[in-house]
Amino acid sequence: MVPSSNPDLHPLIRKLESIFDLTAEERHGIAKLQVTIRDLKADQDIVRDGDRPSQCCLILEGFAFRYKALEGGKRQIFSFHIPGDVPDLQSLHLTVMDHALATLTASKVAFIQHETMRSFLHAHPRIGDAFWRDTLIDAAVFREWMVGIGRRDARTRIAHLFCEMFVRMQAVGLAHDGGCDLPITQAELADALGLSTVHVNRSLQSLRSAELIELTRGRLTVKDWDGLQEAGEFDSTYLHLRPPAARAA
Amino acid sequence: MPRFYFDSTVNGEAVPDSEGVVLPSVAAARQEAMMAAAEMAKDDDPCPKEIMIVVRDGPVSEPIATVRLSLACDDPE
Repeated sequence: MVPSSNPDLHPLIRKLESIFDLTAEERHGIAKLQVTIRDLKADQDIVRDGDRPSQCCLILEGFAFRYKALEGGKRQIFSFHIPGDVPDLQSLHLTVMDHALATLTASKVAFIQHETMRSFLHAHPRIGDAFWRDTLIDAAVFREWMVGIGRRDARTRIAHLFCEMFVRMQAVGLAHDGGCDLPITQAELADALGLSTVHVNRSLQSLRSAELIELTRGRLTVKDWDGLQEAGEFDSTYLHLRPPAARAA
Repeated sequence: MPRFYFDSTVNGEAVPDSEGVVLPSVAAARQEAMMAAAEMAKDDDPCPKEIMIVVRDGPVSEPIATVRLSLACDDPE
């Protein structure tokens, strides 16, 4: 029998299938997964720094980000998350949150109790491996951001982030017509890239006037992919994506 | 909170700001402009570098502050 899929959790299936082909049994396991789905507003904390969560969350729709708030209202954004991501997976093993997770836009999120997640992963070890792999890629992304914040100039940093987001969205089928949703404000870009908003604004204008990208109403359009990769010194190796040819049609 | 606009010019290349940034006060806007100028000094453009940031408190208002930063590396006389 082909198990009916839980349509709500489709983003998780899409994410996992960007890594390997799921068996019917694994799909069935996802369909049976007990979750609590909630609609959250933009800029809402999902988990706070210092929390001891008993559940982790799967982004179904919208965008989220991880950050640390600093003295005087400053903050550093560590990563942006897209549908199919489980951005607080680490709470399964690390009891206390050492940073916060919040929605960037209005989002639909599935909460999965840690106990439920544990038995799900024991029953489906390949999915456990895929989640482990995902946390390793998470670390690879942090390394790349560290290179950016430490050593790349502002324009290169922004171009690199756009390349990264576009390729990640593409990998889970969320890029269309040479672009993807990217509802990140200039202030959020500044907090992610360690720049002032004014500097982000100027560098964005430079990427626009070089006709590499357009960024309007929360959508990124890539006008010159080769040029954007060059401007961002971007090489997607660190994302360890499955070649499209290896994916099931 | 008010919105401030920061037009920047680096080595004659002017980029007007049409979006603006929401900041708590004029003092914060001045600080933001100085920070941005210092960051722009670190960008990969060629030296010498002349950076100017004009701060306005409306999209078409008169400037309320101007930050200038000049970066040169001269040979010994």
